[in-house]
Amino acid sequence: MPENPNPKLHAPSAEFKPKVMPNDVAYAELGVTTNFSFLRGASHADELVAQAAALGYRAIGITDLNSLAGVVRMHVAAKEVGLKLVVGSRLQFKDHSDLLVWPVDRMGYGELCTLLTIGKRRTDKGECDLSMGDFLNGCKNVHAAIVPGEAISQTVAGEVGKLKDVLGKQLSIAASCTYESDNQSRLEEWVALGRRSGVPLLATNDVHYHIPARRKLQDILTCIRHGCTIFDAGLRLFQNGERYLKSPQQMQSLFREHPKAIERGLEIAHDCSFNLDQLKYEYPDELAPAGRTALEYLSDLAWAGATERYPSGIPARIRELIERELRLIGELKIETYFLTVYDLVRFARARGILCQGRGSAANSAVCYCIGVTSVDPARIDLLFERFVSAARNEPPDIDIDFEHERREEVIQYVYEKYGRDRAGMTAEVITYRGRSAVRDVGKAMGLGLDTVDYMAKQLGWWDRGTMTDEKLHEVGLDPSDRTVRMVVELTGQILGFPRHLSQHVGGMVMTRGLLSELVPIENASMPDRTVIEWDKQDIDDLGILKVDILALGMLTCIAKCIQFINDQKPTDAPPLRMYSIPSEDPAVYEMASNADTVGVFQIESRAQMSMLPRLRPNKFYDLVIEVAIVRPGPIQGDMVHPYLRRRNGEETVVYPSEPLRAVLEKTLGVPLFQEQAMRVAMVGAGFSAEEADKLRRAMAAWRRSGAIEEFHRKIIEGMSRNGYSLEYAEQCFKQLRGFGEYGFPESHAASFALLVYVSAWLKRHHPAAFCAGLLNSQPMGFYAPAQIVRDAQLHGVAVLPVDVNQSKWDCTLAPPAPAGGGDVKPRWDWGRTGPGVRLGFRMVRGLSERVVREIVKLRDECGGFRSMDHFCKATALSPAVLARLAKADAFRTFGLARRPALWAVMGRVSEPSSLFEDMEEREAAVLLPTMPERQEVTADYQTVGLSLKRHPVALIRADLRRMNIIPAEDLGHASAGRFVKVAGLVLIRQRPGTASGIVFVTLEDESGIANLIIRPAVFERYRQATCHSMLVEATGHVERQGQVVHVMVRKMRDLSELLGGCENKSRDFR
Amino acid sequence: MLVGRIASRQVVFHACDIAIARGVRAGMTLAEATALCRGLVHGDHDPQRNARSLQAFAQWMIRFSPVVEASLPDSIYLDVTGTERLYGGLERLCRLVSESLKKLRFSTRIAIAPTPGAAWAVASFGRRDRAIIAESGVSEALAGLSVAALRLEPEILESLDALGIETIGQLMILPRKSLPKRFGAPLLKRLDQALGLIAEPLVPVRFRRRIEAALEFESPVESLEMLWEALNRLIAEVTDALKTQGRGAKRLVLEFTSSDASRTQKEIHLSQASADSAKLFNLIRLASEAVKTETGFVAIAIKVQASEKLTHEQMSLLHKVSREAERDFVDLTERLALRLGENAVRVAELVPHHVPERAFRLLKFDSPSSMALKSELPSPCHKARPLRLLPTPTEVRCMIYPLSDEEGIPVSFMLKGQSFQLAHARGPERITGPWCEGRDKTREYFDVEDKAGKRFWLFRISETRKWYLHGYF
Repeated sequence: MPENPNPKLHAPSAEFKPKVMPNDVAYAELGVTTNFSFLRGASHADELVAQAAALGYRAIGITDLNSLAGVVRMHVAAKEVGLKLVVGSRLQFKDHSDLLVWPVDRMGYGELCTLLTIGKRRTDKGECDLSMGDFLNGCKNVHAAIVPGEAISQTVAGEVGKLKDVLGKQLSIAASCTYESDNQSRLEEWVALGRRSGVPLLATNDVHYHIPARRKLQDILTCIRHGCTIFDAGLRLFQNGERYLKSPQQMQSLFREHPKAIERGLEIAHDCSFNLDQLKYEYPDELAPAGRTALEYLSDLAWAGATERYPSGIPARIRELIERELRLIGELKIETYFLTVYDLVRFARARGILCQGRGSAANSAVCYCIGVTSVDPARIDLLFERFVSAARNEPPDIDIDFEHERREEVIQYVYEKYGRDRAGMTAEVITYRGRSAVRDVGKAMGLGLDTVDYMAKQLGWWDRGTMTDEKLHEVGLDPSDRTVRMVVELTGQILGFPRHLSQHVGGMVMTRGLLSELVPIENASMPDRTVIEWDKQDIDDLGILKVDILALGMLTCIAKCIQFINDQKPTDAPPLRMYSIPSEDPAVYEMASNADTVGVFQIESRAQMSMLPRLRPNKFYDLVIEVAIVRPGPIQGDMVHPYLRRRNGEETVVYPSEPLRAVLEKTLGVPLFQEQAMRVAMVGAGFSAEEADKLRRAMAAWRRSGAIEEFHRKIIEGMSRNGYSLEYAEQCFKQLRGFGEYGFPESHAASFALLVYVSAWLKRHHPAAFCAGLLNSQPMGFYAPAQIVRDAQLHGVAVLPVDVNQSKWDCTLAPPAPAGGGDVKPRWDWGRTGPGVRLGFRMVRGLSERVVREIVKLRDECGGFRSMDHFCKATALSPAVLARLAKADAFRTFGLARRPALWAVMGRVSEPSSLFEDMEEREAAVLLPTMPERQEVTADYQTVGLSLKRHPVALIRADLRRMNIIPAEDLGHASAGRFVKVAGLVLIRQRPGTASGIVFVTLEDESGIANLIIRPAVFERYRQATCHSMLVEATGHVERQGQVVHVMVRKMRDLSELLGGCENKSRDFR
Repeated sequence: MLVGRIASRQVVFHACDIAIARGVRAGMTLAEATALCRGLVHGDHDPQRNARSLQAFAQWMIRFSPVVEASLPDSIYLDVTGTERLYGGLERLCRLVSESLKKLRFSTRIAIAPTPGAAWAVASFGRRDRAIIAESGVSEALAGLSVAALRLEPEILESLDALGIETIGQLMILPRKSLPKRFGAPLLKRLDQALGLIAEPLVPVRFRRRIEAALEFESPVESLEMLWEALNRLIAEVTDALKTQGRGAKRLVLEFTSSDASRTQKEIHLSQASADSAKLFNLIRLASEAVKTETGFVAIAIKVQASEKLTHEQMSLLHKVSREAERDFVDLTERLALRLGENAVRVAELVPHHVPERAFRLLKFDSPSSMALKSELPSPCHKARPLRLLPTPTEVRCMIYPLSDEEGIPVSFMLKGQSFQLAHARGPERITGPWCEGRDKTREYFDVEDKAGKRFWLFRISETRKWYLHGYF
């Protein structure tokens, strides 16, 4: 099979091998609905193009409904086979018959984009609201064909007349012979209509699929669109299967009485000379100040930044780097791209929004100097040319992460700066994957909801392979059943079909001219967002600039944490900045090596934590490796253990050759990064830069297995030609394939590693501020607030409860207080001397920020509330809010526990204090039953999500001891192989794709954490207990690997009843 | 287990003890419950049916006391004041009720107390399945019970729980005055009702006698006239009973007992409820004509199995005629159905479907108003469709022109030995069969006219090239 140059084009389906026919009959089909008319068209762009080419068509048009979303794919496919494409769209009007519209030239294309943008911006996402007036106003340089529909009415005749006046020779009547009633009589009506108004007929087959066999799928798509089943779809389906690409001979025969209609198609195709390649993308030009070219300005910024970054003089190596990079940027004419990114970063800095660039081009000396990244090129050796190679005729790749709570400000800045018609968010095409495909097809085929869900769950792996009879039997389905067979067949066909457009996570496109003349823009489902119709791949194919504006929770946390630290500092002390954090602090590395990393960016996951003590990082580059190594790629490529053995000196580091030594030296001969994989292919197997880039794309298109196999032969051949052993070549290929599942580029790893270091440094030196910062940035990271607080307490930080006289909305720093709290015995003491943390009202479930701000304001005005009575009267809060505060135990400041406080606030009327308040009769004091401790803790969890009093498990320890359950800390000195029972709250359940169905569960009790490993068979047996209980008992034997202890589970049991309603939210990750 | 639908989820409403023991709880989704408990049987939760059965059950309970109240979802109150003597003590009454219910396979909890509130509390939350509380023991009996025994709204129970007030005893020691302000009026009201401080009269179910009439003959009767005479008397009895209740019969059962003691039953369904003796007689006569006997009948009976409240229609001045015509029509269809069988009277309904024989369906006749509604559905009626469609297409032999062309036009065809020379042929219109049912062949329909001016609807199956006649225009 020839290699697939564009990963978007899937392999031609085996079901149909087009025969090339003699094309002595010239035909151009202009009315084609692709599957980008969502749930209407039943063929991919490339299928249509390949079939049209095979049938000898002279040209093919694309007319998706109110959309140009599929044109790039069609363009790429048509270019590949050398078929002329006529770009167009089918427009639907609220007051007029449909029109097929094809722009004649670039101008007409701009008009069509603008028209669609108007129609789409007017209404909700995915809809288009156009009237004929809009069309007549805007579209001049187009060919149009009116679609008269089944029966010709007076209105249609009128419409044709009116349009003829405006479009003149550029109007046709779209006639199709689809045998829905008598073709000839229909044709004659149209001919008569055309003759009356002097408008020629255009032959088209209203194509919805490339081959007749796709008709069933088209029916199913119709059913999905209408939400009905195939059995009750009735007239919503097409009456027959005629809407495929017919041969030119067939078309000629259908229109034998009206050969002009066929010629008309060729005429239009000839007239419409517009081609997507004519779209010239231009970078916005307002970024450089007057009088300076963009390159000069970038150069100014870089050198000014360098002077600032290196106050003691720019090192010679850096100077040289900057010069080289600027030269390359100039050659590739991508300076404006850097200025665009710089502009966003500058805006964020001015607003105090923390941000960091990431991606291949981000870790360049220029980016460091202009402040896009904080990764010092002096600290890490990354070659710029590797990523921005002249061969890759694509804009460079820089993603910028912003604080997740403030990213929207940056996005809105872009809209404001460039305007809605010059900037837009990239679309994301949501396509049918295994489950959604089975679900929708099954429903449309009339299967019961329960059966469909069952099938979808059982067949989740569908998209990896084909469905055999044995597999169907395994899941209890009868492969001979017609409906089952149809569902299987149609699901196979629908996989990869686009279902709708969504917005890309952060990709934004900005242009010099009007973006709305480049591509239609529509509203997103989110307010204030506008999205273009093309996705990342389309934009890449056309060479359009995109900047990824991403959200990162850890940046929010770091920003908040640094704010706390600076607030505590004397005013004259220099404030802490992210880039002024001291580098290479041994205490930070020591902490990381002990896996004491709850809350630290990236390395807080359980897999990372079990790697840390083995890797024992002691310099920045170790963190880069740490980030990259615990990824499915290296794990599946079997690179982790060789690397660890070499690092610990248990294996000698050997390089198969000198050239490869240069590539692999920094990772001890084991490729860990995507870039290395590419270099190995280039240096070892003699790949050209372009081929290596294709390899990279193949690796990135994860799960599309097969793509990478094409490179197998090439790599083996190339490497043996260069004198490497077959064994080594196979090993290299295996490693490369591993990257297919999740390779991590070194440049990304370096940027992430910086955040790892910064967050670890903050945790080590300012544990209270770090804890408060994390709590105020929730939800983020792996751990729930209860574990974050507990971890702070373990480090000696005093954590104080929510209190109406002390707390604010956010968690705050409190004056130093006696360490710990409840039953926590601090394990480390570096938080003991620093400030404590006061929990904020944000921790209380169901309180609104507005109400809390009001409480705090009133409190500041009156200098603190004196009594419950005072509080209620001053705030005049509703009984519901008062009750919520009482239930959250926030009134201890008045000496009131939960129940008395609740009694006191119940039945209060939410009116400001009246004149007669003192005349209110005093109520007799009541004695309510005291709340037992277990219930107090339970109530803490229910209202605040954590308890500072006791750990819930501590309260039932006596019961657990009777059941022979040991505390988690005892696991530390349990010998390997010993049979144990542990119990705890379920913190995290994880089922990584790489671990062949093994489930990892982390339990927490009052003494610490127990790591469980559950094999698939055990998991299946105890699924209920594992997945649905808060408190669980695990029985199994101890396994040890260095410092890391696991329990290999044999049995799980739900003990939640013991807690009596204590809620604990675990975080589940797949 | 009973399952209902909340939004699109199927949620458990009630479950049996066995399911509860396996961990099934109300509020779970059906999927969760089935996962917990393999082989779980479930039915739809139907609150209305539930209410109806409880009402019927309350009717049945009237045998123990004249004053019976049914209280949703699952309680029945009996006023047993003064019945001790009848049953020889409350103990015995209690046992009697419990045993009779056991025979009906109901599990019950029974309490007899001075107030309905206390009885409910003890029955629902007491320790024993049967309990009798004396006049003086109410407050003591209640003190130890959960506050939930007071029939309170969930919100009030939640507030009480938050304050740690678990038992009625704890509630009773709180200052009365402070309660309404905090929990609203219902709390005190329920407490006082239970304690008998305020009265709570029962709302008894109305006793409704079953309407039926029977007649036994002294010797077997064979003559139809005599039978009709007897039926007339029974009908008069039944209609009188119906009229006093203001109801009309919807479903009747006729029962004939032969001298050999074998029984024949005949059901009569009415489209509209009626208590009109003449109408009923006509129907019954029609129905009894089909009943055969060798030996004669010794007894006949009429039982009203379903009845409805008669609505006295407002007779509008202008539509009187059409109304009467409509009623006559209904009568006719009822009589036809009795004579020819339930399925004989049908009404056609249009169905939106491309395949001609699927574009309509025959329904049981219901009432004229429903018929009007059904004909308004869309259909591909703007296309050429014949007036008469054959129930199944008949294969014909057909000549086409040009002969060699697969897409040739029909020029003549043979049907039952007769040849038709065609003057015109319009088409083809292609219709593909419902592939989801395994019928994915395409038919090519032609609207043809022979030289004599007769129009036919022919089709050719694309795949087999065979020709069929499907209708006449």
